[in-house]
Amino acid sequence: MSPRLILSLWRERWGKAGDSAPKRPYLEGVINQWGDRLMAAQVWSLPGILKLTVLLCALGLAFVATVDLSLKSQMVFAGLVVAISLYTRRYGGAWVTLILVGLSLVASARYLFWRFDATLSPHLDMALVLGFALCAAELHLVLLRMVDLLAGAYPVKRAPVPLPADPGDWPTVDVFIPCQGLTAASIERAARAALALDWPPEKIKRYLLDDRPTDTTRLLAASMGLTYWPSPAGDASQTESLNQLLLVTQGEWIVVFDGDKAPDRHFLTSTAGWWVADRTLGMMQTATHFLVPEASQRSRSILGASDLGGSCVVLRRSMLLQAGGLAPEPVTEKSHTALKLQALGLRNAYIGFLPPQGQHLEHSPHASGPSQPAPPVLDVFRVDQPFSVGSLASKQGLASLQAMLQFYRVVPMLVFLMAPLAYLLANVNVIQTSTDLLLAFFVPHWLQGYIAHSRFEGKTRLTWLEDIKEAALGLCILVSTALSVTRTEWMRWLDVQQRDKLPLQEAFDGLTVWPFALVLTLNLAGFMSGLAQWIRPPHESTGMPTLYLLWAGYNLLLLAAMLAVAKESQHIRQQTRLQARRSASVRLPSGHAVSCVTENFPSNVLTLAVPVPMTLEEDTRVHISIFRQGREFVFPARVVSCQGHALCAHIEEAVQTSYRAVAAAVFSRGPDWPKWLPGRDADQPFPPWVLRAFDAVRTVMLGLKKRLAEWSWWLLLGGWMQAWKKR
Amino acid sequence: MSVVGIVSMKGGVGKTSLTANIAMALATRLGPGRVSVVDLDPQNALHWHLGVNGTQASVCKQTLRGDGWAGAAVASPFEVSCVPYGMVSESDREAFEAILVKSPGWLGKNLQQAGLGHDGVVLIDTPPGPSVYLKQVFACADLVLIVLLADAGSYATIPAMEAWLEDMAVLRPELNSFYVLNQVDKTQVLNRDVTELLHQHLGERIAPVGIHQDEAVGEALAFRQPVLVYDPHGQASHDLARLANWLIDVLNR
Repeated sequence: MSPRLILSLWRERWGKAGDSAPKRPYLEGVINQWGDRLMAAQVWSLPGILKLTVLLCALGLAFVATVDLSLKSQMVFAGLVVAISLYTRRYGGAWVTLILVGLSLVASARYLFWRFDATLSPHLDMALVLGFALCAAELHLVLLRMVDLLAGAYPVKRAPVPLPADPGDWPTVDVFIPCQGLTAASIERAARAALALDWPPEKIKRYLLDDRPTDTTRLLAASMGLTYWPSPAGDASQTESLNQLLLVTQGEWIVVFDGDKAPDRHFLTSTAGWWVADRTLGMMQTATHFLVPEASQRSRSILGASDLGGSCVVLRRSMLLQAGGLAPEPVTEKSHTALKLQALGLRNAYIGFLPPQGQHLEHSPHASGPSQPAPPVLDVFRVDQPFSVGSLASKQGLASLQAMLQFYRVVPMLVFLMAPLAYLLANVNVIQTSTDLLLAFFVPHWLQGYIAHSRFEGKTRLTWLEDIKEAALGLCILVSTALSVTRTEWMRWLDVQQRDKLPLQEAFDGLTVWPFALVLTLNLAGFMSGLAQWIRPPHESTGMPTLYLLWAGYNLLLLAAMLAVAKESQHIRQQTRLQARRSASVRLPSGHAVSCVTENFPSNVLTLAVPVPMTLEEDTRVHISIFRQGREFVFPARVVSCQGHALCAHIEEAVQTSYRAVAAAVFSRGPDWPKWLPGRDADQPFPPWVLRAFDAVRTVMLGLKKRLAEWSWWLLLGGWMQAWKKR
Repeated sequence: MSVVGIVSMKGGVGKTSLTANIAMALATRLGPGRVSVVDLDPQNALHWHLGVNGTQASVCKQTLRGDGWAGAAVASPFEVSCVPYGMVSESDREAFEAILVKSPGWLGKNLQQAGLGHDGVVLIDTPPGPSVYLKQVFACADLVLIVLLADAGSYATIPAMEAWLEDMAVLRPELNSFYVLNQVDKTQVLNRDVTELLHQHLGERIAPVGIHQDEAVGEALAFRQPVLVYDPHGQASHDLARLANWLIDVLNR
């Protein structure tokens, strides 16, 4: 989860719409026509032209990055680059995206070259070491951004392929759910989702893999009708037991879910068409989370999809066996399996998101109306066969570079967060240059990166002022966050045993709190001491200390916002996962029916919030009605406990099957996140009220100008008259 | 002013208590002084549901005396004014019914003259089956609610009801009618199946909210209170409140 994504979740939680500004569709203009003409030019069919172009571009970039400009020329250059990209960013199309990426590359390359060339300490001292580390961190982030941008420049969009009309021709499927180290609740959720999958029942088998066999999971599997597969060796790894299960099962396809993810019911019917149509497809992966899209569109068309960490894979058994089963490497087993399949010359694919309405297997009399809306337009990102393309080595290199850079991203981030402290606390100047030079190089680099990046992330990316607003919000939360972090750690130190019960601890376990708390404290100290130095009257130079101080302040806001938002996102996750509040009614033995609300709907032991305090004997038989879309489903249950406003009742075993069916129906709605996906609208750097104010000011100015022109005409006339009179 | 007739072909479907309870739910939604009920059922039970003393006022006697409704309406403790049928002798009832047969517009005229205001809602309770009272209601109502139980007995009366409605449609083609299910209990297999059958058979003509079987309804009557007052958190009260919302929507259409 990226901070951006957490932020968007957080906004969702508090009902703060991210797209409050009126939408502005991308423009179409001459620039697009140029791009089309260039792309369609005959030149591209010449042999070797692509390599030549790449070479020429690289040479050009090297020249532009290294050419020595004076401060004034650099400022003019920066202004020019920024002006061009601010103009072109309003136009749509891949060509414009490429221009923006190119400009960003130029600005960043110039900045980085200048940093390595001119801003490091000339002597071998602490400043050189730290400065070099900072430069390396910046290089890392720039490289990562560039690889990301290159990867997402050409999303391939294709519609999904429909399945054969006769379900009898559909292949048999085995669903494997590994439940390594997961709680019973999340396993139950995944199992329910697996049970709800749309597929002919005689053609699907579901297995629950448990590498630490426990009775609770065994019972769960038995009660849900899943085949339980305990790891035979006891301590075998997840992939080992998966591979062993491969030998005893027969399904043509294998679907592996992460135990804590729950796909929607159309998952199989939406992905399956590809498999029937393409006999050489060996593996298909999905987005990392079924409910949350990725922060940036990364097309796998360029990179060969070998670096993915999806939460679900679909594999063809024959090919998997040919490849020798799943790869044994922990954590990255999916990537390695993908590589093994690729090595056999098979394709693999990535599906960005699934259609909200797949093919329905069962049509209830209420659902089969003639006016079913047509499925919306779909974007499915798919890869080509990597081995058929000559430039495989470079693509794969790029892919592994992206994976590596992404994995170690936290290191440069930490360097970036710590860098101002070197100056503020230890008085080591890590960037040895003047403020104006730094700004002349840094501003276009940062701005270009921002513009290019925001084009890719669209709606999920917030524009400048939104960022600032969030940062200001971070300031408000800073104090309370610092306090609660200290308190948490203090309490933990006081009583280690109690820590599980602390809600704050729970709230922070999404982030590894220690390094962040440390960095936060250090930044706070650095900011304070910097402020003290800055206020003290005799300063030699004001520029750099101010910059460092601002930098530390920015870091503080970032850290505080991160911690606070992580806490919120944890809450959101708990809510969406555990609390399904549905209107219900409980019929008591006395014949009274009481209207109530469920607190934990799909659970077999239902907790109901009743409006009036009640007392019921344990084991009393009641009837619980669940309402859904005007329909009522009644389940007999036995009271487990009843205290005040909380009534806890266990659904009778006899109706468990239909209860599960209702739960599946309630939870198996289609994905509701496509509305979050980046739209086809231009990024808006300013909020609407700023634009409106600007328009108003412009109108007033124009009116004033017109008025002035009239006045000046009269003044001129008067002056001329006087001059004439004097004559 | 909106006039809603509560009718049914079969007796014992809880029509009178439904009339009182819907009136209470409407009064909760619309505020005091806007909802009245008129009892045109010789059983003369409606006033009991609203805790009104029904011995004095009587729409039947007022009419025989040749007076308007001015003295017939009684305020109830629940912000619903009530016009009881009245305790009358057999000969009085026959004389009253004879008047109704003679002047088909009697009910409409009296409602106009009662001065209930343009934003008032009047609910009229009727005896089960075809009768002169039913005719009066059909002649002036804006909406007719037909009360049904989810059982075979009610199901069997639907053809007769439909035939009656068809006859009436000649006189008042614009009149809307909806079926309302009362005493729904999905734990009973037959009740559940008949409910499904009715939904399939009647489709849009069945009100989207059915009233659940709830002991609180019977107990409320014993305490001479509407169920919304007696047990506001019961399922029946919830259903009545939703039904009232739906009714307001339909009347505003």
